[in-house]
Amino acid sequence: MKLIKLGLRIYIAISTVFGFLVGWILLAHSGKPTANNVAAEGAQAITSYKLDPLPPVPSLNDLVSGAPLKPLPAPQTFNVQPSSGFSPRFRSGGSR
Amino acid sequence: MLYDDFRAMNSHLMLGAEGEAEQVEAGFKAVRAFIAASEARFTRFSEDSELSQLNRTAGGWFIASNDLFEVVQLARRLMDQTCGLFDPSIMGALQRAGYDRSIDEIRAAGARASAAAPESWATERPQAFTGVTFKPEWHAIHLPAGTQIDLGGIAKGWIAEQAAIILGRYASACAVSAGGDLFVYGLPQGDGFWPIALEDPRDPDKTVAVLQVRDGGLATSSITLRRWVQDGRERHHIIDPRTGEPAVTDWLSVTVVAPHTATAEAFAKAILIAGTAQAQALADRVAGIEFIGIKQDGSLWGSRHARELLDVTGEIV
Repeated sequence: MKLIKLGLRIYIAISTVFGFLVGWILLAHSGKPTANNVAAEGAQAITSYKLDPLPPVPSLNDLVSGAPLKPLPAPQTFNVQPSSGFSPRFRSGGSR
Repeated sequence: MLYDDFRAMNSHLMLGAEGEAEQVEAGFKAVRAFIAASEARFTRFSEDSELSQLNRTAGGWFIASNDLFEVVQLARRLMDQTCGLFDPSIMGALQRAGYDRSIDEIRAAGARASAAAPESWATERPQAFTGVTFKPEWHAIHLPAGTQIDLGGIAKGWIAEQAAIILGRYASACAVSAGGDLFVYGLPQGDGFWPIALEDPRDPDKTVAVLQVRDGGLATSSITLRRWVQDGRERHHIIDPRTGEPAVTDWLSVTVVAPHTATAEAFAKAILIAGTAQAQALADRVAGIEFIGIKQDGSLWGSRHARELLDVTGEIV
């Protein structure tokens, strides 16, 4: 029984020392963070992924040349008299 | 209907909600907290904001919060839908035009002189927002090196919509306006719509029409209100991405109604920049968009179904 206990103690001691040394070596040889923020740490890992390309933005050329994207009905024009005495609480007119 | 109004995001905020008073007041409090947190996240005028951190990381990856990731993705989609006329990467052009501080500060102290312009706007463009990439699993954003973005308008629209959704948990119907970027949620008791006054861009205290808005968003872009003088020239904040200069357009203002406020905001800007000739073509690119614009001569123009938005109590000739 004593012999088994001794064997177990030696086994645990050797395993602990061995595990510690393996961990030390792995950490010593792993890549180091290159920047001081979380974003850059994330970048190291992310760049190994293939990125899905986004669709290109449609060309502005049609708009620049003045040619419509497709045949257009002319915008309508209105003549509006707001009902008198009624002033809604909510208004819109652009950033002031 | 209960109301709450305050100033945030350099704009006048107005909340309106129907429901039990105690609940609605709790909703107002929740919305104020949400708006304060969102303003801190999205402002470009603070070095500490998450947006500023993203801009500083251009050229590398940035792990973003849910909110910032969502809005930047939305901005990229809206850029595509507006043929690039909505472009959040015109920040350099805005700053050169003198909009390098909040509008309140510019009004108080005046605009700085124009910085040296780049050799050519065309050479600056390849660095723009078209090159942004995303990694959804990580909530990671990669801005091309040298690209700086300003989410101002669409962030405000997105915040208004999210705020209305929060307020909707405390009320049967509500509306949130962030400087005229609105989202309405549900309908006021006994009414089939929310009446929204359309301001006259030549005199914002006057109303040119009353719009009937049901669920959804509304936003207006105007070249007459956020103006300042730089080097003896009148400048405004609507930059044409094609030129890098304040837009030259035959509109004074454009109001868009859309399913979402951020969409309305991006399209109002794009249609304003594009001018009257391209307005309907742009609006047709996304379902559910209607616009009403006021031209330089003061006439009121609208999209195919815009007439249905006008308050029928008004006289339509």
